[in-house]
Amino acid sequence: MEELLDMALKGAQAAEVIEVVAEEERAEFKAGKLKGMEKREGRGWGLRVIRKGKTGFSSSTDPTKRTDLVENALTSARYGQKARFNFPHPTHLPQVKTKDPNLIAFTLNEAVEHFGQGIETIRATNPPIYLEGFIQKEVVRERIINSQGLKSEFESTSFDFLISGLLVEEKGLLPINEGVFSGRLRLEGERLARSLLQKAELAKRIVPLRSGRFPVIFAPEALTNLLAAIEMGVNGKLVQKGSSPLCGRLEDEVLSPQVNLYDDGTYDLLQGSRPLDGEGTPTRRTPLFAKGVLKNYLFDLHTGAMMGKESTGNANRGYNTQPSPGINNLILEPGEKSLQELIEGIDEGIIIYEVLGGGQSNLLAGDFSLNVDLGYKIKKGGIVGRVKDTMVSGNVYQAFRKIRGIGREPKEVGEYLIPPVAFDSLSVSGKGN
Amino acid sequence: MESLLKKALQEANVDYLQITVEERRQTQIEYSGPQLEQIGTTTSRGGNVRACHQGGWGFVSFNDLSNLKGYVREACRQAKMVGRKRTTLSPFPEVEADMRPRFEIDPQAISLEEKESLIRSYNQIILSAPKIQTSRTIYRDLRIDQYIATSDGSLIHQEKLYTGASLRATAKEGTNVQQSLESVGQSKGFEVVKGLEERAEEVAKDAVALLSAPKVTPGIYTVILDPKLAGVFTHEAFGHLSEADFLSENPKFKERMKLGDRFGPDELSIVDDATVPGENGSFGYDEEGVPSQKTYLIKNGILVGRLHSRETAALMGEEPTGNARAISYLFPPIVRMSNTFIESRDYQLERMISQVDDGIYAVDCLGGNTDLEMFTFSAQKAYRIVRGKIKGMIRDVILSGNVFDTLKKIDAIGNDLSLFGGLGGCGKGRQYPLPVSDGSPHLRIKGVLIG
Repeated sequence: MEELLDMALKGAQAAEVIEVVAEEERAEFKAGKLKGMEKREGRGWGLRVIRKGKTGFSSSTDPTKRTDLVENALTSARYGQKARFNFPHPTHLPQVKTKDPNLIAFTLNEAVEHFGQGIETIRATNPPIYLEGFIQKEVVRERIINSQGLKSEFESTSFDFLISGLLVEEKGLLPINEGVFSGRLRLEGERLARSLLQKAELAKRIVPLRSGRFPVIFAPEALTNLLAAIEMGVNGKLVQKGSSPLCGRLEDEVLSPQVNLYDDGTYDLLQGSRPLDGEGTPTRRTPLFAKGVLKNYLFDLHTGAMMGKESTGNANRGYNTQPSPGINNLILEPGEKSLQELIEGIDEGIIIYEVLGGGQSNLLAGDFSLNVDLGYKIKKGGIVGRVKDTMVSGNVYQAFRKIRGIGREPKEVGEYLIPPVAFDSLSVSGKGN
Repeated sequence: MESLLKKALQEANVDYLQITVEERRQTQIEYSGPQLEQIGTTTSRGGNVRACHQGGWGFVSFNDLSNLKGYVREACRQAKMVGRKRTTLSPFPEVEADMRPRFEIDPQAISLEEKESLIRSYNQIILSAPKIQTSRTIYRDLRIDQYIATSDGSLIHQEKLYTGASLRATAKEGTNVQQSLESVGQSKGFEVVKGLEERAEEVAKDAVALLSAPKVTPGIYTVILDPKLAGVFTHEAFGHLSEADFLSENPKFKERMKLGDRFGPDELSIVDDATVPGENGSFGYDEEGVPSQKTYLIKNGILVGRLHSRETAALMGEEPTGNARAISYLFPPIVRMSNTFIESRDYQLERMISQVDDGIYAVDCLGGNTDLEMFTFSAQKAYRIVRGKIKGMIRDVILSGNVFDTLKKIDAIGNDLSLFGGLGGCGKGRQYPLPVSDGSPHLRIKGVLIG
């Protein structure tokens, strides 16, 4: 890496090298049995240069082709963006746990055994469910060095565990998923299996739903689809371009005062936890909405500089991509009600666990239109059965202004730590009457 | 390379083993608004070893080619750990092949400067239209040099070339933001991205027109799909159901997809064909070394075939179709589509429209998704049809429904098949984007849920 930096500095004023070495192991299960094992050993280098005031970039996985890599980066700098920033100096980094020693020690043989136990729980009670899923562990080592003397590295772990039950129905299949997406080892097969069975049991009865506006609860897994719009809204790049609907709205009360939302790379052991971002800037806890008031946008070095702001430590990248602002971990502060209480507070409405079609609407403007894959009808404070052929639509910003309640039990979903949210009134269209 | 692969194969002590090595070189240019966001060339080299033993699979991918033998041993160890039954792989005659891409203009012979100036000119066209707030214009060429060697004696060297561009316009008026997208991409050379000036104009015009288009009133409509949207429907709604990897392990669902059952009207024939020259989903050999072919999925309304890998074909007692594909050396091949389309019939578009009293003409596609039984996809733009005439533009037309019901509700098939590739591609599991093309003639479907 150091050699690459030196080579680049012969043709450039400033340079940065990122190295990513990743090892991922995965066990796949199909039809209730271990189907295959996979391992990925990847490594690559990204080189960013500043030459004659412009940035250039290239990447490679081939250590024997350093000259090509440097040449490609310098060529790209001929056309590149004006560099309005310099690479960061070495600085104090926040304390954050990014790796779980238990997960590092964990082997896939143990994973197979554990998955088997979860499956037994389901087999023993409900034979017509077909099961598939996977357990995956990943260890990533990221190093970054630059011409300002920065030399940093950290190692992080992530653990994904998904059990998917395919319920065979008259007209097709209903997938019901339960999973754990964490930075640490969470062997909760038994819990996942029980929760899956409970969902399957409730899904047996299909109930009609009339079209109209109803209270709707989004479980954390489904809520990420709505948060995607807000992530775009606070993305410094879209703000800088003027295309975010949150442009010029800092300190406005944009969302309900119940909403406290922040980005936090320094939170321990979520999948986006890290002491520094992809450009070496230390991560931090950045409030996005405090009591519904818009507080900050997320920047990397380049977009921050364009807006006359500092980087917030949100440069997302791999070794083969240039940095761009994005979330580290998105955290929604829990409210006071349990999920049960949220359900009990609804006279007629739905609760949604899984949706299809995220990202197809005009998300940038906040519009969403989601096909409900797994959702249940709530009547007089209780779940009465599953809804089918149902779509829920609206605008994320309007929806988050009128909230009935935020759950008190947050759930880890990869880079999210979020509780369920009950919205006051969303448009629901169904076929049944 | 050949001798390196052959030597490593000798380490194998399993029922089946294959080694894939790829060198990839990609040039990408990306404008976002007036700013050049990305320009340059990246390269990568890597490979994978895939082993099967007693029905169990192992897979290892890597960038470090110097440890090839070690990776072969690792994949064998994994496969042996998984394997508990019998390996069932369709036997396949050994193949020696050397395939080169066909193109008019080699993108590697065009300077970065020339590529940049062409893309900048398209970007300028979009940005200079009134009410356009921003743009996103992307150019990409990708060359893949691939070797596949298998323990049953095949050795294939194939070079693939993909070139394409996408043009996106965002129009804004107050808080109303609308987008329009055009994407071209084929297994061809630089000729694919030349002469897109008119398309750039149209993208900008559409985004602006959507600003004043009213939202569709949700409900159930008779819908006419243009060839692009109908192509996405074919791919998403039906194509994924024909992928045998899912079926072969789920007996109940296999029963629902029984060959010989009626799936649509007599006029309906759906094909997957990787041999169409130069399309985005075209190739010589799949990632198991099986040659590409044309496969009928539905013929005259009846289910007649499906897409296979060597394993799924053997498990279901059918012939392999050459549909085991991987997006790169990082992933094992899985059953995927190539170029998937509905065949033309004789209905004229004008006649189709004139017979609709109250409906929607949905054009082009923003995206689509499926969960086997259910699908949802969104039209880029749409028009109301009132008493046999196309009326004003409407927006936010998202079609969804049950695949089985919807295929049966197709009541007219046009005479104007076109295929569309693009810079994006198909996603399945973790593998996105895989280059595919899809297409159709105009289709009319009754009773579609629009949200």
